[in-house]
Amino acid sequence: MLGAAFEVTLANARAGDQEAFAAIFRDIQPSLLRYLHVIAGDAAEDMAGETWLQVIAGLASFRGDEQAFKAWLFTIARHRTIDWARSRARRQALPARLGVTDGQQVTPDTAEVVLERLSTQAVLAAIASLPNDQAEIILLRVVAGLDAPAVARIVGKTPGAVRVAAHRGLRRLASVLDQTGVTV
Amino acid sequence: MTGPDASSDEMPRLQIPGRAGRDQDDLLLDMILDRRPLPPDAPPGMHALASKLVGLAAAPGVGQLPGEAAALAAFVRSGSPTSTLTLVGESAGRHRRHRLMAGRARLTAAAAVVVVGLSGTAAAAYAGVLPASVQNLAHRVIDAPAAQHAVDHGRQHRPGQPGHPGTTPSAHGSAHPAKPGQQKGHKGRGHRAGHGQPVKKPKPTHPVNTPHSTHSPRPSKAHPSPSPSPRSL
Repeated sequence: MLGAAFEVTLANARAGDQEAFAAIFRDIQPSLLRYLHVIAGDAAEDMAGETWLQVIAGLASFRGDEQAFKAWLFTIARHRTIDWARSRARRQALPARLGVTDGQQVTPDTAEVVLERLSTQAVLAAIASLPNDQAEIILLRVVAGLDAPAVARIVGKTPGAVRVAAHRGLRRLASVLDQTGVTV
Repeated sequence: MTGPDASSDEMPRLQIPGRAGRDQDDLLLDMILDRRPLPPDAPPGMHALASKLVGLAAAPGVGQLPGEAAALAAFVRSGSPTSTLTLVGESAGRHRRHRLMAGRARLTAAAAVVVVGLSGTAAAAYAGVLPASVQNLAHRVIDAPAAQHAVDHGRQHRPGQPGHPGTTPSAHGSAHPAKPGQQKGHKGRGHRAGHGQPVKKPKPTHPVNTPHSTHSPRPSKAHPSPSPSPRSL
């Protein structure tokens, strides 16, 4: 997180400062790729690129703090992925990795270049095995670092429902990780 | 999208008996979700889960990240936000242009129909072949022959007879509907003449709606406008 520096960095990026934009990009892109890796699979990098294009287009009109910026960006990413999923005539809006069953290996792709440790990949694969809503909510809470109200707005649920789904997902995740023997 | 809950035997290491234990479980899970450190006395299972998830909160990237070059290039290209990103704005702009062009085409077509209709009506009026009420109106407005004169005039010149001194080729075509195609065209123009009259002060004592005019096709329906392709999902 850029924290206190975010406001100035964003203002500089709005003014056309390439370094400021790069700082924002480097801060968020790893989380974005991990999120998209689970919900979009092989299309993660493409979805991330589309997301950043839309962010750049709307940068001048954005108002808000760092949390709001992240919520906005992940909302865009989610919508782009849903559009992509529909264009692929998939039955589910979040089709790619969420249907992976326990024990299946996630096929490595270029997005995983940023996944520095194998354990991280294994945890992501375990999250991908969760039901769609639980996986996405855990990713938005833990990976993107968004609070429950922001996640609720993104996924269209109440904060209470988000909390319940997150708890269910974490319990199930603990079981999956325990069974698969994932270690850190 | 709500999936099945985890059964109690799925995570034995997180089990804390009773409601109080469940509530404490929830509090610890909230702490994990909020990336807060767990208290030392938390169950080992919670610590294990937290330690596995903490690595997911990715640190800022070091060096060149995937997609960074493309994003920075797009950012530089953007310059001003309005000129940015042909990938994003191109589609909407293209649709706007298509809608604009379609609107202009429809306007032009409508104007052409009106002009043709009015000129055809005027020619028919001077030929004296309009219905009596319309002919009388044309007589007052544009000094065309009166209705009675027109009737006589029409009787003297039956279809198939050659040349009337005051008939132009276009007027002749509309005045003598000998051919089916011409007759249809004549009706169409007559319809438009009736509806085009408000331009020249119509009088309520001379209704212009004639029975045959209601059978004419509407000009606007004859010019379907191109519509933008539906948005692909």
